[in-house]
Formats: sequence, C-alpha cells, structure tokens
Amino acid sequence: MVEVVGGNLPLPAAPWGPLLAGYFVLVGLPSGLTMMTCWYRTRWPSGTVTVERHSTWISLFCLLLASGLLVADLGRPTRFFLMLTRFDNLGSPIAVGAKLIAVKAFLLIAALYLRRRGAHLGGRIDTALTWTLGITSVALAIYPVAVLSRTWLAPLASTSGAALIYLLTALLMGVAVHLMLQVYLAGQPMAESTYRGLRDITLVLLMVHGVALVFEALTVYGEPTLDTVAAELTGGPVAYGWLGLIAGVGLLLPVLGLTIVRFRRVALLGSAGSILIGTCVARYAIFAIGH
Amino acid sequence: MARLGMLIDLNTCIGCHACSVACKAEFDVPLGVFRDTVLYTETGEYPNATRHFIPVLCNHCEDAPCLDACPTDAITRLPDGEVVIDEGDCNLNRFCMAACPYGAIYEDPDKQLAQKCTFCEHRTADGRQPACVDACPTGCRVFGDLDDPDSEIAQRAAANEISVWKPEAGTDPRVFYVDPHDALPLVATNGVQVDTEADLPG
Repeated sequence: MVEVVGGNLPLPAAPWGPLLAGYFVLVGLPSGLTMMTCWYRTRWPSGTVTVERHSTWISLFCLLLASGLLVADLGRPTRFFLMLTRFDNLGSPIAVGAKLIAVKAFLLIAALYLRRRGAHLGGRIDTALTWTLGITSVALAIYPVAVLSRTWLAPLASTSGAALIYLLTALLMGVAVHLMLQVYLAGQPMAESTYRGLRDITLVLLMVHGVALVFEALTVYGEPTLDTVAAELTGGPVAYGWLGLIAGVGLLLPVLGLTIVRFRRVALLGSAGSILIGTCVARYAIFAIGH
Repeated sequence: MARLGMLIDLNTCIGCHACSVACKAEFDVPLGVFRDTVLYTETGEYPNATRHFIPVLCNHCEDAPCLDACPTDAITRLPDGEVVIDEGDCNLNRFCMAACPYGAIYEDPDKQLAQKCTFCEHRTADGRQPACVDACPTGCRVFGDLDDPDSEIAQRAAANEISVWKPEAGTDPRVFYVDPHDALPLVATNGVQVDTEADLPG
C-alpha cells in the first residue's frame, strides 16, 4: 500500500497502490486506440489494413494487461470472476467496468477473426461491429472516473472536467499509438491527405484537451474543498513536474512538433511520444493527487 | 423490522478503551487494524486544555457508500439495518475501503478479506448487546431500535441534542453522538483505522 503522510485521511495508507494506478492509466489506451481505428476506418475505408490489424492486437493486449493489473491487485485473485458473474450490484462502477472489459475483449477478438485476411464480412455486420466497438470504448474510457469519484482517494475525479479529461486522454493515447503504427507499418510514404487528416485530428484533440485542462484548473482553484489539490499542483518542485509533463510535454511539444517540424516522421513520432507521456501523467494525476 | 443504531454520549466517555478491547477479543481482530477504537483530540491551551475521547466505529449508514461500491455484492444490509460483509463473496478489491469516508473497513491480514464492525449481529440476534456496549464501564454507549419510542436509545436521542460524525459525507449514519463540547468536527479528517507506526513493536 502507498504510505500517506500527514494523517489527513480516513485510512493511514491508501488502499489502492501502484497496480491500480497502472490500471487507471493503461485502460485508456485500448479505448482510445479502438476509437481512433474506428474513425480512421470510416474516414479512409481503403486505408492500411495492416495498421488496423496491429491496432486491434495492441488494443486487445493492453486491455488484457490492464485487466491483469486489476486482478493482480485483488487480495483474492481467484475470486476475480465474481465481478463478471454477479449482477446484483450494477450500481458499482467496478462491476460495470469489469463486464465492459469482458465485452470489449470479446468484440476485439471478434473483429480480429471476422476481419482476418481473406474474410468477406457483410456491410451491416461490419458497421455493427464498428459501432459497438466504438460505444464500448467510450464507456471504458469514462468509467474509471466513475470509480474514482466514489472514493476519498481522488478528489479530482469528482470535478466537472474529470470525465472529459479521461475521455480526451484516452483518445490522445489512441491517436499517439496510431501515429506510431502509421509511421512504422504503412510501408510507403504517407499520402498528403492522410498526413493532413491525422495531423489535424491530433491538433484538434490537443486543443480541446488544453481547453479542458484550463477549465479544470479554474475548477480546482475556485473550490475551497480542493485546497489540498491546488497546493500540490502549485507548491514547489513537484508542481513543476506535474504541470511540465501534462502541459509542456503533453500539449505544447506535440503542437509545436506537428506545426513547425518539417520532417514528418520525426514530427509524428516525437509528438506521439510526447502525447503518450503527457496523457499518462494527466490520468495518473487525477488518480493520485490529493491523498 | 427494527432499525438498529447506537448512541454514544461523549459526556461520559473516559477513553478507557474497554470497548475496543472487547471488540478485539470478540472477533480476534489482528493487531494494527480496528473495528472500533477511541480517538483522542485536544482543544485549548494550558492551563485551560481539554481532552476529548471519541469512540468511533462503522456507522452502518442508511446510504452506505461501501454497499453501493462493492462489485461482488459481498456487502449487504441485514433486515434490522446492520451492514455486513459476506466473507465468501469478498475478493478484496478494496473499493469499499476507498469509498468509506470513515475508514471503518480494514483488510484482515490473516483472512485476506475486508472486515468491519457488524454491530455484533451474532449477539444481538440472541437478544444480547454488542460487546462494546456490554464492556463500557460508564454506560456511554446505548444500542437499540431507533424506531421504538420506548427504547433507551430513542428516549436519550429525543432528550439530547445529537450529532453524527462527518455529516458532510451525506451517508446518514446510524451512530449518533451526544457532543456538548462540539468535539466531532475535530476528528473530521480522521478514521477508525489509526496510524500505528509509532507503536512499539510486538
């Protein structure tokens, strides 16, 4: 367990530690990558099949890894199935989330099988699969905030912008990995329209993320019950770390990279890496700050 | 059905810990964790300092966050209102511990389960009082049916100004306090589980 200094909490140590922190950060990536893949599919139907297959495999791997972190954190891992088989308490966000993960994993496996090379998938089935993957991904992107908002661990999770930030960071994580896959797997120079489309969607998401962060900051500094959080975000060298990584590395660097850097490979890869760092820190901050 | 609750009169609590010792003995609660304890806090300065003793335990809330949080439905409410944990269904995900604003739920290191005060439902089912109530030498703890106007708890609640611990949590607790010195807000950031790092080893 994480030790807490100050005794300003109902428990001497937080009941959730590094494993759950890793889960809350990592679970955004499969959601965002699936949503990005769905968008790319609709935008460029004849786009690179290889990128889509790799995206789906990476989403499935990350989802299973995140689930593994959740199960490993249980005091009784052999009873993890109870979260999938019990439907008596659907008012518990973790119960809903566990079932969402199972559904998402099934859909990803179905997508890999039905869209395998040589398979001919009907238009309606393909559309239905895309939509259900998209909807479950949105739900999985947001549900962690519902979990954290029920706890005293994460006061930031109860703020008005937390769900939006979790959705945006999930999308940005997905965009970042998709950009990396595009660079490494496309096999040929990227078409101008494809590059501009990917660059523009990334910039739009970064700008919306920036606006969301600004208003989240206004919420935090205007709310007396969040004084502890505000102090941690503005006090001392640690504050520079939070702000530097979330805003500097996660926002400013990729915006500069995508708008100024002339070499596309460098711009895309560098921006993707920065976005991954910034979004992971932002998600971790909502989990960790305030306790 | 009865609506069981507890009233603690802080006028007469002397901080002897008989209640927490009795609870430890009744349930073999391991060292370092608590179903029931007594918090100490001070106000004023010498020579006008005052020490307050505040017994704390699970509040068996009407709107229990732990009950809503548990994904395996291990936490349930008995017919008389006690909130209990079914050991067979608990997988120790600790969401209940994260949701409870009172720190009433702990991880039993021996059983690898979440545990908390049960209002001694195994005793009250036989018509007896909870162990902490029986042990209290000053009678500051009263337990009974809140909805029975003839019960001692209902009469004392009606005769005194009562308050609850952490009302801002909005959980509607069933543990009430007679708190004439307004000591409860002094422990608004504390919990039932106390930091034992300063304790002597063994």
